[in-house]
Order: sequence, then C-alpha cells, then structure tokens
Amino acid sequence: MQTVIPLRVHDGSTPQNSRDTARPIFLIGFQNQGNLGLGYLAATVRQHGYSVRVFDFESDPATILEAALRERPLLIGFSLIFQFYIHRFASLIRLLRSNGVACHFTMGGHFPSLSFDKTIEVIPELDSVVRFEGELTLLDLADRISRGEEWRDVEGIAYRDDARVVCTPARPLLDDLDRLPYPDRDFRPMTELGHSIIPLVASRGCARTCSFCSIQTFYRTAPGKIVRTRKPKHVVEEMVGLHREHGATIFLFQDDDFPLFGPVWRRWAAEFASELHRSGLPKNTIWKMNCRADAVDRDLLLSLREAGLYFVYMGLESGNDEGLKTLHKEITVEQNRRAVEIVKSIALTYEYGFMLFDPSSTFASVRQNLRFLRDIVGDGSTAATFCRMLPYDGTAIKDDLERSGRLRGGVSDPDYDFLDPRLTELYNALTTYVDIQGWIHGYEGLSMYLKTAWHEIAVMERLFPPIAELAVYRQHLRRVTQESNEFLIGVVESLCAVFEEGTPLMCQPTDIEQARARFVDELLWLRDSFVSHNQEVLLANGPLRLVEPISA
Amino acid sequence: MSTPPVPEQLRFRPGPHGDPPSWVLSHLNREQLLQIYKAQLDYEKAVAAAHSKLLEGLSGAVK
Repeated sequence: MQTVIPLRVHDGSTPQNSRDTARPIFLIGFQNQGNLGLGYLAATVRQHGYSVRVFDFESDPATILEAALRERPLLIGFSLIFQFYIHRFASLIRLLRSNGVACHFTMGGHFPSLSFDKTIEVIPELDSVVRFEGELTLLDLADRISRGEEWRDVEGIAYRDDARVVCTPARPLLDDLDRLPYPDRDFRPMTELGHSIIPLVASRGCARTCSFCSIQTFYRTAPGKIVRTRKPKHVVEEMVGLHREHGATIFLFQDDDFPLFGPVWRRWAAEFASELHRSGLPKNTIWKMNCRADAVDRDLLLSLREAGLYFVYMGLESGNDEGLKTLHKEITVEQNRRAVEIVKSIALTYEYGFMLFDPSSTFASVRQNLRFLRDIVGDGSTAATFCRMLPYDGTAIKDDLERSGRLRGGVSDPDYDFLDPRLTELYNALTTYVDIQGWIHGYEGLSMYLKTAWHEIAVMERLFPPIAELAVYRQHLRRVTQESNEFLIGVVESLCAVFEEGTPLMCQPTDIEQARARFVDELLWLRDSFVSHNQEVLLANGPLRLVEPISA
Repeated sequence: MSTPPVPEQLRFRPGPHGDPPSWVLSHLNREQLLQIYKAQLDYEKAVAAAHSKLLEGLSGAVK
C-alpha cells in the first residue's frame, strides 16, 4: 500500500479539524478516456475530509443542476481541457447561476491557467480561476470558503475585482508527486475484448519547447521544477493495486513525455522495469507510453517490452525539416524515421501524431510530408493519420502568427492563413472532397477503426493464449490498412497536383466515399469473422471482472 | 457482406488508445471544430430544456 504524507496547504498550520466539510465539492469535466486531473483533485480534497461529486461534462445539464440545487455544494470546480469548449462550459455555468446556484465557481486547466483574463471575460460568472497544478489551491480555496474566511489571497488564483482581473502569486509546482494520493477514477473505464484500460501517470511536465504546445508553457510559467517523476516503486504499487483490487490489465501512461530521454530518465526507466519484474505484473498486464522519437532507443525499448510495454505513441508531427523547425521539435526527419523503424523492428504496436499542414506549409512540404507518411505506414503497419496544426493560446506559434498578422478566428476557433493562398484552396478542397471526419477523426473514422483493430491484435498477442488464426487475420488487416493508407495518401497527392499544377482530379467525392465505406465494411467483416470464430478462447481468457469506478 | 454476430463482451469498440486525451484535441481539424460547434448548439438546447424543466417544477410547486 502507498504511504503518503498528506499534502498540507501550509505545512503544519492547518489542523484538519478546523475545516468545515459538511458541504460537498462538485467537480465537472470531460471524462473521455478518464480525467486524471479531476481524479487527483478529487482524491486530494477527499483525503482532507471533503465529500466530492464528479460529473462528466457530457452528462445532462439538468442532472447537474438538480444535484447542485439539492446538495448545495461548497464549491464547483470546472475542468476546461481545451479552449474550444469554453462557450459550452459558459452555457452550463450560466444555467447553474441563473437558477440559484450561488456557491463559489472556479475553473482550471491549461487555457484558464495561461489565459485567465480571457477566461474571466468570457465567463464573468466565475468567482475565480485556479492556475497551474490545482490540488493544493483547490484545497486552500475550499478551506477558506468553508470557514467563511477571505479567499482572495489564496496563492495561485485569478479573480475579477471590479473592472480589473487580479492574479495572486503563482503557487509553485508540486515538488514531490509521491505525496499526492492516487487519483480517484470516478469513471467507467474503456474495455478491449473484456480487458479494462486504465490511465495513469508516472511524471508531470515536459522539458521540451515545441512551439505548438501549451503544455510546456503551462509548466514553464509556474515556478518550480518543470519535470517531476514519481518513484518507480510507487508507480508500480499503484498498478499492482489497480490490478489486484480492480482487475485492471491494460495501463495507458498519459505522461506529457514518458521519462526515457537522457541518462537520468534512462535510469528511471530501468528502475521502473525492475520494479515491474519484481511485482510479477508483466505476466498478465501490459502498458503503453507516449514519447518523442529522439527518446526511442532499441535496447531500452526491448527491455521495457520485456516489462510489459506493448504500445508506443510518438509525436512525430512532421516529415520535413522546415516543418519540424517551425514546430520547434528540435528533431530531424531522419530521427523520426529511425524511431518508427526501431519500434516496428521489435514488434511494438505504434501510433503517431502528424501535422500535414502547419503555418510554414508549402506544396513542396506537403508533398514531402505525404512521402514521409507513405514511407512509414505504406506497409500497413498502422493507419495513416494527419491533421492541420491549430494555434492555441499559450503557444509560441500563436504569438508569432499574431505578430505577423496571420492569426485568424477567436478563442474558440483559432486559425491562420497559409503563406501560399493556393494551400488554403487545397485544404478547403481536401475537407470538401474527403470526409476527413469519416476517414481520420472521430470514433467512427476509418483510421480509428483500423487503430482499434491493431490495438486488439496487440492485446490478443499479449493477454490471450496463442490463437492459431491470428497470424492470418493480421495479414488481412495489414492488407486493408495498406490499401486504405495508399488510397488516402494518393487522394491528397492528387489534390496537391490539382491546385499546384492545374491537373484535373481523377476521382469524385462519391468515389472517395465509396472507397471509405468499402474499407470499413471489409475491416468489420474480417474482424468480426475472426472474433466470432475464436470467441470460445477469447471469452475463456477474458479478465475476471470489469472495473467499476474507483474512488474513495 | 453481413458481419457475423459476436458476444457483447467482444464487441468492436472503436476509441482512442494511443492519442493521449489532450493530444486528441490538440490535433483538431476545422472539421472537428464544426462538430464542436454543433455539439455546442445541442448543449445549449439541453441547457434550455433543463431550465424549462426546472421552471415547470417550480410552477407545479407554487400551484
């Protein structure tokens, strides 16, 4: 069991019995894939005696309103993950306020932390914004409010004072993550073939300086050490508890950048692998991590694979050096390519983030990106996927675009102009001709289907006894992935030729949609045929029980 | 081609496993922004419905 020294707002000066915990705290945020941020907040304030209700933002607003009127919370905390949703949060907050929910409203997250003034401007009903890591600040706020004390001098908040927004001194980032309780998981986990998928983190922060990412700004703006790792022993203890007590078998590490890079973190990773072996977890659990391509090292990944690593997500982001420079990835195309080769060569499942379009895009760079995509996924090893970079608040690239007059849109729809206006036409045509949602994004997109099918294969290979027909199914899936990848990349290349060279487009949107539907049908037929035929072994070797929401 | 039936526990459940939650959103396209707008409109309808429901409840209580 974890030995935790409870966090105190002011060490030693806040006796636990001095707080009034009679009224609950409500926390509201997206629970897609499980919201560990809310989980850590909930666990921290619960540890100090408060009762907490966590609501999925997707739940019916009437349910939240009814609960708030009935239970009269002390405070409601809203977790805004991304600025695109700010107006939707504003709608809920107005509903609550206009119907008599008078308690303290606060909001946290990357955008509110970095753009607290805009947040308060868009949602004036907020009493405060909690900036940066929120565990101690939320606890401090709750304590002050529960005792009827002044809260405006709480460290790490912003609030409106008449016409101006006041910002108190930023609270330093937590120096020791092992003092945090394990996060509560007030959500029903996703499952794969009956196996539960549980998110967790081994570290917080990112030492890199990618220009499109507000996460690194979040950690650099707050005082304190940017990257903090938990002790490997504590991480493994949490995994053991989740496995033994709740039947968890698939762990997704959601670290901003899993600790692998450089000698210190390599040692951390080696110690983590040793702890995993000591615990016996690699026999019946598997785990996934996110990392950069320059952290991929064959020997290191081989040792982690032996300790249960089955899946790597890499932020590749670009296949041309100019794009990587614009995105300030501080990495080369060759490093990206080599990382993918290594991951494939040791039979790890992989996925990647890729920005086909960025503010530096030209026709030449888009073509280079498409060639790079073909190089890495032309073999059908995973689904082709790409996107257009969008400029978030708190990013260097957004500031650059603003300075150069290229920034467009507002808080909830930031965008930019390409340097070559024909690229705008290409992009518009791409989203008109190709149903991007259907091909790439969204739960019903072909790319999501293919990636899920590959994920299932990885799970079957590692958490089930050998299945004779799996190799044949894998071959078929690879063929479908290969063909659909080639089709998609080919369509984008054709569109490039249309807008750069005036070549006529050889296919119509209906042809593209028919091809997509055919790939989806074939994939689903292959998958369900295989699963149906092997259901006996798959059902017999599923987990003992499904995981229920985990909270105190 | 009709797909063969599979038990509920083994049903195909497409969903993100690789993309970290925050990155899923950081890789948004304009297409997805449109979806967010649509969801925003739906959400506002739900908020309006919640408001009406509460008012009906209050009016019932007064009567």
